[in-house]
Amino acid sequence: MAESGARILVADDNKVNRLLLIRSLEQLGHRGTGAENGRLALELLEQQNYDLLLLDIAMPEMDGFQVLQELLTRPRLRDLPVIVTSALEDLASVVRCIELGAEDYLHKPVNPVLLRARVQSSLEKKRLRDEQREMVRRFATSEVEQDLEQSGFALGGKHLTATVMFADLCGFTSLCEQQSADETIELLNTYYTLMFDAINGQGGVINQMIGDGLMAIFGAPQPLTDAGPRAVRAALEMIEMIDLLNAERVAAGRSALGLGVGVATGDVIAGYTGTQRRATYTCVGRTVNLAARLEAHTRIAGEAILIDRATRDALPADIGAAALGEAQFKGIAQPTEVHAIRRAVT
Amino acid sequence: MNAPTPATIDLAVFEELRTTAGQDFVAELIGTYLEETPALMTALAKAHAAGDAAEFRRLAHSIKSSSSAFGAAQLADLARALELGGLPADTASLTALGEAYGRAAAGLEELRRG
Repeated sequence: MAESGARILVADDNKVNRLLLIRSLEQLGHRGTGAENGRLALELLEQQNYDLLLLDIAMPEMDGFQVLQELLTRPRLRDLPVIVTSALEDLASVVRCIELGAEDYLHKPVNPVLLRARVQSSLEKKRLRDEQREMVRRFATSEVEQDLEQSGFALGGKHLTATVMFADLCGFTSLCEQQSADETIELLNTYYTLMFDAINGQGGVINQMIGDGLMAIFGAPQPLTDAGPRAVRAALEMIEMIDLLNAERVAAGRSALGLGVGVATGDVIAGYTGTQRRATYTCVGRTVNLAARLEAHTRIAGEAILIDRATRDALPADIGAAALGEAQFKGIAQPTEVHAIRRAVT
Repeated sequence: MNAPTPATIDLAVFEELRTTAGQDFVAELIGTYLEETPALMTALAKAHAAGDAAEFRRLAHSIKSSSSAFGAAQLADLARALELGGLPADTASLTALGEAYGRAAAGLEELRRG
């Protein structure tokens, strides 16, 4: 396997967690090294080459947020994929990690099946990125390379209007405990394939995976006409796909899955991660935060799809939305109008 | 010594850990946990006495996460309440945490031998 024998650094102040994560990585055929705080992790990262960093957030001396910030400023380490492993329970921390460039987030205690899937996916993405960079280095003229770097292909590059979607599978962790590892991996693959098809089919780009959830952008990096309606159509297709999957699962005597989707439209700060910057396309700002809040709010509202006012205002007549009134979200000063999408479109 | 009750150690979680990480490894890991956790408890009490809320939260969080790895549910729940609840006014909750640790440690010792 391409990912076998990867060198992975585990930064966690708790020795039990550190040893357990290293053990899990070794069982997957990787080499794990431990660091007991953020400062020591950065020292090791500077001295040696690693393929991936598993990063705890709450640590003495230097916490995980500070490590993520530092990584962005160091050219040699900007490309290093980071999976945050934490037992922090608030969504704000998860959003902050992703805004700071973390590739993925795994809740502790870490489920070994999810760990395997996420580590493989991160290593695969790193491999593709390395290849891509090598291609650019080898084949592109220096003018093209310079142009790539100068034409806004940099973090913090552009303000633009886009539609952001967050989607999350409910009850996935408890599901992992009920079924075999193979079944879980197969289910994850099916889930991701279905979601990718729905999102890509409407012109959206998936740019983050967060455990069993994902974040997608419509209208960036390439401009997209009707980004909002397209995101809503994608959300409806996703729900439809999950319904079909559930019909199969229930027929086979398995439990049904729940999917929550939040969609918001507005100003985002976006930058492409090209030849020098880390990871893929990055998108941050109030709209990203709002979409994440709306997704989390689906469980409270008992709705599958929630959207903001700006997305609703752009909807054509064939997509109906129900006004649910205002909700107060953390990190957003003004009360937010919330609308639910219920009717499937053809 | 009494057999560990489900409230002390969630046996489903513990068995899952033992299956995935391996029996010998988990026996060693229990040793590490029993060595490390008392120091975290002491540091937690110190942070409480010093009124250091950030350090108190971080330590409670740390105790929560390693305890939940073994399925020490009751202890993890108490640690979680301290993590999320801020500095308590008195030491009653710290005493309760210490007692829960005592029970969890005994339960894990038992499981390690068994």
